[in-house]
This record gives sequence, structure tokens and C-alpha cells, in this order.
Amino acid sequence: MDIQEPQAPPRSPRNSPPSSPASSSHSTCTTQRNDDALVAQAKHGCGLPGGQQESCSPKHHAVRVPAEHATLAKALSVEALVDHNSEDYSDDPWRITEEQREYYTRQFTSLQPDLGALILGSVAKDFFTKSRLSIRELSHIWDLSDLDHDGALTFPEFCIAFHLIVARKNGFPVPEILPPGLQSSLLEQDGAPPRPVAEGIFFGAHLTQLEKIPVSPERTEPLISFEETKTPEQNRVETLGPEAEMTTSKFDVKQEPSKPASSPKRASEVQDQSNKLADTDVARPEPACKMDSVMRPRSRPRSYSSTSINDSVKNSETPPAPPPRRQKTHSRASSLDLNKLFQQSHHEPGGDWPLPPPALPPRRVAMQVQHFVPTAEKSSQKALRQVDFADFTKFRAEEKSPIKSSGQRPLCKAGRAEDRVHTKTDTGSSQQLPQKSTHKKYRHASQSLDPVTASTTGTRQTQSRLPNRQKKDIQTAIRKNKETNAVLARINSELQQKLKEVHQERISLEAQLETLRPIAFV
Amino acid sequence: MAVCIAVVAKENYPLYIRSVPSENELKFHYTVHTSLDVVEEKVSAVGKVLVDQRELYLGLLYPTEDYKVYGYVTNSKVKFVIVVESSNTSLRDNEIRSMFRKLHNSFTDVMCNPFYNPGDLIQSKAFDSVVSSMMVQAC
Repeated sequence: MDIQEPQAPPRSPRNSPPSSPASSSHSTCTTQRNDDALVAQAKHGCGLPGGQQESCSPKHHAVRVPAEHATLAKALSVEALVDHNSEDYSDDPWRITEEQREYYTRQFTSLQPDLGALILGSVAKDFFTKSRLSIRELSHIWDLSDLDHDGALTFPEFCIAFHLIVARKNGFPVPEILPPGLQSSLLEQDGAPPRPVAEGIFFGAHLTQLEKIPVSPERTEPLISFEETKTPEQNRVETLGPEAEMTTSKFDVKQEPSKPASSPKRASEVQDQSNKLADTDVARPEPACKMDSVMRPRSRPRSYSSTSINDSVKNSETPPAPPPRRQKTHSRASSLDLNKLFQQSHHEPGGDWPLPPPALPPRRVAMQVQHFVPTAEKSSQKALRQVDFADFTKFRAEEKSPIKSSGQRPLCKAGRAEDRVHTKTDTGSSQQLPQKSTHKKYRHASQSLDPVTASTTGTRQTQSRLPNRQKKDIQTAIRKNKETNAVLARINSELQQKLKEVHQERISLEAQLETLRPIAFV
Repeated sequence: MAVCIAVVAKENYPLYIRSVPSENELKFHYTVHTSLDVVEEKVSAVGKVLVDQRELYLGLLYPTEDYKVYGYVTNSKVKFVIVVESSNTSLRDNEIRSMFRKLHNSFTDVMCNPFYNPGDLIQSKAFDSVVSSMMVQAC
């Protein structure tokens, strides 16, 4: 920004003190600057001539203060760069220039997209705390800039506060009362700009995603979705309500009657854009004659509508079907995977379990019966079942998984106990064990996992993709191991300590024995 | 015109105390401290949950030979204490109430400041100016 230009001509000698705060903040400014401010500053700086880039961001003034001090003496060179603003600078350093105002507007929109809405106190506090001024000074600046004492900053109040902070960082002491330059800038922002331009600024500021089309079309879009934004508006009004009760904030009082008046109008004519335009046109002349406080309520609904536009767009997008349910994270015993299993089974050739999912319960019984029959005739089948058994539990979306696993999956949980007992299961699993040595860990962690994983991995010819289920099992196993490790370590330490104590006692007893020994001998 | 004005937090520690420096300030600090007992007594004596202006304004806490002490408690148990000279008999009750009201309003403004953490000492210049306007002009 160009604070230094206005300060240079009239007050060059006064800028010597700020070196100390500048140096203190200099070391931290680079690390603690807001990224947005940096980006904004970069953008802002690119647009300015090279000479002005040194002072483009007030946040970086701490860095530039030494440079500024050097350039303060060269007022002419600085003035040459800002000929078009020389009038403002020479008049009053407290006057906000257009570039500064643009910067403040950008910062405001980064905090609150709606230029007509408020920045809450906590948000502003975090933002201004980044300027590295002391809390006392920030508190004082707040007292000066929060004109309606509501604990929140409107856009003019924000500009005042920001300007005071910028001035303070450049060495100006914070004034006791609001300088008339800032007060005039407040008025000028309220009344001077023509209404359409102001509305355009408000719209352009918050409708960042939309192009800056003429004002009238923009008005219709927000109006359409005004109903949806009524509640956030009302919520904000309600939050401001208690504060308004305590203070005498004008805009709150004016805003509430204006909003209910406008909202029913708009609610009744959601689909009629022309009528809405008429309503807004009627509504606009009324507050037009008033000052910024009234413009704020008028613009606030529209500003809220920007978010409502997004909401309406999102609403139109979300009705489509919700995302498909994830099937990979089922527990081992979940039978929901049957659908996928059967789908896979269709791809698999020679599926021995073409049973449909609804027939699961009978199948389960049948499977149990089959399991209980230790016949070798179906050893291969059982082996496959084991494989499927393992496949089912471990791998979900495996195209190459045998179809048999699908049938065994619901059974795996039920028949697992029996499977453990059956030697064939062990044999079946042992066949697979050598293939997957890593799965031996699971044996300790959970017996159910071992055969399953081994068999599944054995059957799986391609282990390229590790199913989530296996991962989860591995993770749970690891977790359990870690817990047992921790417990054992704790026990170990306790025992070590006991050992030390016992050792100490032994030493003391031996010492006593030594002293008593001569007596005993005697 | 007050001689001493104090703001005491809910936990009975001072958030702000200012007195006319003509006399020994310690005496006023002690007076304010002892008046807290009277405030507690009055607050607990009410016992009701009613919240109105009357309850906030506690009135004359106790008079001494030199001065009178008035009390006012907010809904958040923050206490304002005003000490006025006994010789200043022109001060009416309404004036005391208006003084408390102004104090309360400026205290609210201090609270609204997001940079003010409740429990800190009040260092707001606006609050200082309001208090100064109510203090006896040091001559």
C-alpha cells in the first residue's frame, strides 16, 4: 500500500520511532504473514509500478519500514509514482486511498465474502492479531473503530481499523479519537458512491465465482434463493440482537424491519423475476436516501444470497443418488459381501456355489453339515472351501476369487469353530502357510485369521492388490501385539524394580551378617 | 462527583480502581475491599432470581464519617463501587444511578472488544474517559 507516500511529505521526522516495533516484527513477519495477505500483496504488487512494490502490502510494512525510512527523505521520488493520488496524500495521512480501500476490500472479502455483513469479533481478533501489534493497541484501535459497539466490524469499521493498524505499523501513534480523515472516509464510503456502483461492488465482491455481469441480472439470482438464506440472516440478526439491546446500533434496528419487509415480498414471488425486480426497485429507492447503515441491510440479503446460490446449486446436485455403499470394510463375518461374491462368482468358471443370496440360511446349514462330515471325497472341495473360506474373509472384490468362497463366506463365521477342529482345515491351511510366511503372525493374534489368510493368499494367484480387509486384520493384529508389548514392558519394568529392591535388601542383610559374624564366631 | 470508582470482578478481585489522588489511595482501596462484604450480604439477602434495575443498584452500602459508598452489581456478578464524599450532599440517588448506568454501558463496550479477555484489567481509554468524567475534578 501507499501509506508511506502520504506520510512522507508532512511527517518525515516522525517516522524515526517505529524502527523498534518494525525490527521486532521484521524477524517474524516473513514467517507469520497470512498466506492470503501474501497472495493479495503479490497480486497487488504486480499491478503497481516497481517503485511502489516496496510498500504494496501493509502487512509487509514491517519489512519495508527500513526501506521506507530511507525513502522518506526522498519524498519527491515517491510522489512521482503516485501523482494521481498526490492530492489525497498531501491533505491528510488518515485518508484512505483507493488502492488502500481496494486492499481492505480484498482482505474483508477474504474474511467475509459479503461486504454488507459483519466480521465477528473473534474473527477480526485473529486477523488483526497477525499484525503483531500489542493487544493493548489492538484493543484501543478496536475501541476507535467499532463505532456501534456491537463487537463486530462492518466494512467501514473494518477499513478504519485496518487503516489505524497500518498507520501504527508505520510509526503513527494510535490517536485518542478517530481522526476526521477516517470519519470522512467513512461517510464517503456510505454516501458518495452511487447506489448501483455500491451494489455492484457488493455483488462483485461476494459473487466471486460469477462473472461481473450487470447489476440487474445479478439481483435476480440472489432474489430467487433468498428464502433459503433467510435463516442464516435471521440467525445473524438474532446473534446481533442481544448486543443491539445493550448498545444503540442503528443498523441492527433498521435491518430487522427492512429484512422482514423484504423477505415476505421475495418469498411470495420466487418464480417471478420481473416482480422481484420491481420489488427490489421499490425497496431500493427507500433506503437509497439513507446512509450506509441502511444500505447494509439491503445488501445483506443479497450477500447472503450468494451463499444461497451455491446452496441451491449444491442442492440441485445432491439429489442424485447417494454414493454407493462401501463394501470393503465389512467385518469378517459380514454376510453382505455375498452380493459381490456372487457377482464375482458369475465371472468365475465352475462355481460350485451358485446359490442365490436369499438362500443363505439353508446353505449355511448345509455347509455346516458338510463340514461335519469328514469325508475325503470332498477333500478337494473342502480345500477349495477353505480357500474360499479364506477368500471370503480376506478378499472382497477379487475377480479371480473362486466362486466357492462365496458360499462359504456366510458360513465362515459360523463354521469357523468347527473348522478349527477339523484337521482338514488345518491341512488345507498348512498347504498355504508356507506360501505366506508373513501371515504366521496372525496365528498369535487371532487364530481365525491364519487359515483364512493363508488359504486365501494361497489361492490367490495375484497378490498385487491387498484387500482392505486383510489390511484391517493386519492392523488389528499389529495393534494387539503392540498392546501386549506395552503390557509386557510395563510388567518387565515393575519386576525389574522389585528385583532391585530385593537386591538392596539382600545387600543390607549381608552387611548385617558381616557385622554379626565375629560375634557369632565368638 | 465521585472520589473513587472501582470495578470488581466476580471473584472479588479488582478489574479497575481509580481514585482522586489527593488523599491516600490505600484508604480507598481498603474501603472498597470492605464494602465487598456488604455487597455480598445484600446480594445473598435478596435470594430471588429477579433481574431488574432495582436489583442491580444496591444503593448506599454504608456511610462513614467522611464518605458514602454505593454499590451496583451486574448480572454477571461484576460489582461497581462508587465512593463519594459525605460533604457532597447535593448528589441525589438518581444521579448515582445514572453514574452506574454509564459505568455499566462503558463496561459493556469494553467487554464487546474481542481483544479484551474477561478477567484482565480494564485498560480501555474510552472507559477511562467515562470514569474521569465522573470523578471529582482534582483541584
